[in-house]
Amino acid sequence: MRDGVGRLQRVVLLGGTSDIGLAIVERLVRRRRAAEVVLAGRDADALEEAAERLRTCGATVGISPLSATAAGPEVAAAVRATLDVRTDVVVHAVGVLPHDDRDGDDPGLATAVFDVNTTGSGVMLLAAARTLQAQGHGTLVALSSVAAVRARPDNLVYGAAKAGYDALACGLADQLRGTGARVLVVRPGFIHSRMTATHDEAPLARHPSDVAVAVDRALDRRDGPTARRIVWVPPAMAVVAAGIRTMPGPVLTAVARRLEERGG
Amino acid sequence: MADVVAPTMPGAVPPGADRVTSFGRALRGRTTVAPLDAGAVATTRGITRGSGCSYGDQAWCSGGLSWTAPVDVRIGTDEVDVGGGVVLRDLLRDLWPLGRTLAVLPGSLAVTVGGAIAADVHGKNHASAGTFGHHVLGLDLVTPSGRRAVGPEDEAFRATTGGMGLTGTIERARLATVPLASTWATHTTTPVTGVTDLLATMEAARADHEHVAAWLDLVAPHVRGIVEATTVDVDGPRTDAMLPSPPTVRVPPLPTSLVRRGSIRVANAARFRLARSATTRVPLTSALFPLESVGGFPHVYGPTGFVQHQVVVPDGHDDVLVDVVACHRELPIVPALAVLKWLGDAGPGHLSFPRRGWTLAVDLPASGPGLGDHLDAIDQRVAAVGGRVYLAKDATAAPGAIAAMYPRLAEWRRVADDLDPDHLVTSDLDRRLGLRRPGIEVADA
Repeated sequence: MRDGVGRLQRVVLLGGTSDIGLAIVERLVRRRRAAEVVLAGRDADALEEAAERLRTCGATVGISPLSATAAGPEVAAAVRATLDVRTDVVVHAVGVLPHDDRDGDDPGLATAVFDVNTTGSGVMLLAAARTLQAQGHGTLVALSSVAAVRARPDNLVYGAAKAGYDALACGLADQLRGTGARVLVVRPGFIHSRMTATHDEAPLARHPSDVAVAVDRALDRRDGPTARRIVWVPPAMAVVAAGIRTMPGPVLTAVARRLEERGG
Repeated sequence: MADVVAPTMPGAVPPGADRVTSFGRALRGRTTVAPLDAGAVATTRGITRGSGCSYGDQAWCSGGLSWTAPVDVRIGTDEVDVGGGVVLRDLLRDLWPLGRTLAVLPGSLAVTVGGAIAADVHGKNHASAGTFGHHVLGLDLVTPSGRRAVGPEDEAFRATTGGMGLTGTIERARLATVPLASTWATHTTTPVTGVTDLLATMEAARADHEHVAAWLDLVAPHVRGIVEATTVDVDGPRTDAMLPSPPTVRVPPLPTSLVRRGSIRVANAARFRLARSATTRVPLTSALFPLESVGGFPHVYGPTGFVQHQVVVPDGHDDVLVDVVACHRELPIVPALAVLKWLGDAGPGHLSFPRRGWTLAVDLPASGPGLGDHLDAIDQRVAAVGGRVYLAKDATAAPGAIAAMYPRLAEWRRVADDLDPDHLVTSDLDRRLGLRRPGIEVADA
């Protein structure tokens, strides 16, 4: 339960080894006295390692199994198992980013990206949102991406998959209005992390801690008709995204090619 | 690896559309407010909601139901039989013309009888009159395991007075009434500078006044305050026109907070300088119920609201009280309103707040997580000498801190579990502090 000065009690991270997710959780533990943390994910060893780090910050950390590629009902059940009525924040940070820009040419890879980023993640969002809705409080932080605003030629499948995820998250944000629970859709640009380690840095690149600060700030603003539902990291990314979204196709292709050449 | 306890959610209800806030507006929730229904209490998560005067999340259940109790009044010669939802102000308006009153009255008359029992409230005369619970003759309690008539000798009574509504809904209560000779009071004000002198002046005032409290100015360069001592006149007159009435002035919602260090400094200085050492005859209502004069005053704190932090420091630990005052003065947040009172012996309930000692209540703008860490430090200091925070005011306590402050918590839990084995009666406060069920940090220390 959130207290009178915005401190939290229980935080759940779906995708418990995500660099961004862990940065957010660590900030909530340090700054908002979130004493109970649950890390849910696949890799038990990596989860335990992350849990140990959070324990040194003073949190009690539990670990729970969760796989995005399991059958839908199984995924939903695994999400529900991590939640109880005291949960204040659920951070959803599950996703894969293909190493190859031409993910559109590899049907196996494309399937994996859609399976994890859209299908499995979507089921998780739905399960978490329904549970928060029933308990009448709590915030679901959905880590989308600036890629979701348009499936660009250089990240076709990832962009399309994230667009589906983003649409679902935004729809849930609208649907949960007035229930006491809310959804915060976070759209970071390029973030330095394990997931992007093999990728070329894009303009306006930031670190996981910057996402954590942005999410923390958004949690300061309490829910209400005017509360923000979308968080851009950095904030300037909102302008870039508006540009990307409205750019004529030929220009977008040319810019993408130019960036690729510069990067290569 | 820590085991994560995942309590089940029996009887989940569809989210309601009713928006509720704490009295200080710092906490908000969504719940379905509904009239008490004994059948539904047995199947649905919920808590009783009175007038919403608690300073935190005591009186609602997010995603659950928030019950309202009946409001009928039956007046006997020396007792009243009232619904739990009856507002004290309304009850007094019935009683005072008959020459009767209640022995214990809190500073706000907007609270309900059920709320007053659930918080086991006290007045400025706690040292002589005890708590509200001391004057309750019997209760009708609606619990998930059925309706029960409960008397002062029952364990369920001790668990319910001060039990924050977590043993079930107080449907009816029989309260003892006492004679009211006059609606006038003799009121003595004494401006004092320095904490030690304040405490000494209050101790002296206690000797010949029933009601003693001090207003403190914590933003002045030196701590100062006004000791206010009140005694109800014994020889009348009783003026019906001087009945407690709802506030005539209301502060509207404001877009921003008016509470700044500068504004509070000016207001406090004015109040202190205008105060004279004097004894006057004043209407009882204005002497005892300061919160009744202006409605909606939490709005001056703007949209983020305020929290009230109230602790009791046990007798013999004045040094800790001085430390707590110093802590509040060092805060980057302005301690806008501070009230000091002396409490007598403990109340009847397992979780009754009072115990012999000084109690300090401070209103603080709910500015953000940083404030919470300061209050945690104060809580620890107070708990170390056997003091405690007032659950009816709490909005920030650490879940693990409560067991040390309330040594009878385990006993209370056992009685509450008997009345409500499935833990259907729950509030956001209950979940936040792990009152009915200990949180995992206790199990995994």
